[in-house]
Amino acid sequence: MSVINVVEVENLSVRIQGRVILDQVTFSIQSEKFTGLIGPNGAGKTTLLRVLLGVVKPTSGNVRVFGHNPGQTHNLIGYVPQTSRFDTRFPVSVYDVVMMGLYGKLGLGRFPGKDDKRSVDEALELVGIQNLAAKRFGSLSGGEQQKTLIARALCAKPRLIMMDEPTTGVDAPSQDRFYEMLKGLIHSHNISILLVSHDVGVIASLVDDLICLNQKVFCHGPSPRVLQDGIIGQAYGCETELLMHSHEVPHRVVHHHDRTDNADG
Amino acid sequence: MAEMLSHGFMVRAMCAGLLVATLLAIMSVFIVLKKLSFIGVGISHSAFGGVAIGAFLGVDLTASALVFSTGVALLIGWLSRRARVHEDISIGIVFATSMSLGVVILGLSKGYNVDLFSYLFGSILAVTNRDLLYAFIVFVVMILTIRLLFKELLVYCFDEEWARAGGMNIDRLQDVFLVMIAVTVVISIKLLGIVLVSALLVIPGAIGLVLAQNYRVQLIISIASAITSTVAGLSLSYWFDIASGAAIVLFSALLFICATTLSPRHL
Repeated sequence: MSVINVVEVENLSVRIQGRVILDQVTFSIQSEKFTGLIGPNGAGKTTLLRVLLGVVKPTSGNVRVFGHNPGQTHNLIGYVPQTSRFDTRFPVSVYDVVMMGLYGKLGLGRFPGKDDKRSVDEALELVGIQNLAAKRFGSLSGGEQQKTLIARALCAKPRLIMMDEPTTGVDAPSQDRFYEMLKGLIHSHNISILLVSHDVGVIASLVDDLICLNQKVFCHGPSPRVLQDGIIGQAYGCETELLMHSHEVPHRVVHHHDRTDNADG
Repeated sequence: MAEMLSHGFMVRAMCAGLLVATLLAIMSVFIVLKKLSFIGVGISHSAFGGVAIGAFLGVDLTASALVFSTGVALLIGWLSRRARVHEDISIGIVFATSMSLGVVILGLSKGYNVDLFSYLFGSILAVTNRDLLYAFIVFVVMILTIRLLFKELLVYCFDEEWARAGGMNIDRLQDVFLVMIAVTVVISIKLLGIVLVSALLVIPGAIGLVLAQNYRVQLIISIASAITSTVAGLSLSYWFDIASGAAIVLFSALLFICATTLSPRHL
């Protein structure tokens, strides 16, 4: 079975105003996989996403997205930003927001037609919020806003979806349903998902592959193996305790640490 | 009303008023949504420098204000992207500098015959046939441009980062947007005044925002309120011999107060 990589990153370094944000980062993202990118706050996760989107230029290294330079494959990527930075008073409906996903394809001076409206309806149905179409975006809950932004990304029919901290402000039971919905999309629509989070525990058990980033890539591989390696603690620079979600009873995974440094604390 | 419109100057003022009110109202929707009201203030005040240079050189004042304000708008856009200081600071410096430049140049040009009070606060007597022609040309060009860029401007206001990530040239769009503000300001100066025109770049859009749940309704309310304020303000200016800009702005402020009182949600 040949595995196709949708993203290839080799020795990527990014310096912004002299500060090292990413240092010799190498990893790849496989097609039709659910990949989690984790790391503490300030680890360079969002910068890495921006590099893949072509918004930030690499200082050095090689980045290919669907075999092209970043920024040349906008129609293949659906980007889902954080919901926390939206103005809740902005007067747009859920339907309007999802329609924005098609603006790039429509081009200047052209307004949506019947086919475009059908695409929006399909995307709304796919994430299960067709009943919210007429609501003002700012009046929705965090989870509903997130689904709207995913529908916006989906309606342009991308091959890769990138999400930045998608569950900020979403309560735990909704998060579980949300992740199940994402896994369903991978299989039903043959897409790949890259999910960025600082929250190790929740996504670690759900994704296929895990990339652990803190300026450098600390580990990269199938999720269960990465978790057992105990490298996550190195990336976070502290002891980590994972609350695992599984089909059985939730349980904690605590890595063994040398506690000789206790005297410092 | 019929008596008022029997004067040629009043007909010109009303016609120009309807054109500029519509444009200011549309721009104000985007300005309010993008929270750029200070940019409106900056660009409009800097037009004073352009008027002064025109008076000094003895060229058409509207034309010189147009060139100068477009330059200032592009400078503000450039500074907001490049400078290490916050956008508000660069706008504050640019517009105060432009106004000071205007005062110095007017002081140097001995015997100038610019009616300063009219330029600062607006006058119904100031609108010439040429101004009306300018307003009409700008109106047509602006409406076509807004139609061309409406979707892009909406996304720019709602989610700039996402639009950039999707390949939209946001820097270019922002420059076009700032120039659109500058052009609208310049053709509105005669009626509204340099000091007061920025109010109509904010208040109509704000009235729309407090009353509407959707930007389409906001746009309609914004245009309706700007036209109402302009017709009422120009009439008050005629009857009571007060500066037209001040009358229009006071009337639109009154509408804003009514809107916030009626609104189910507040700003």
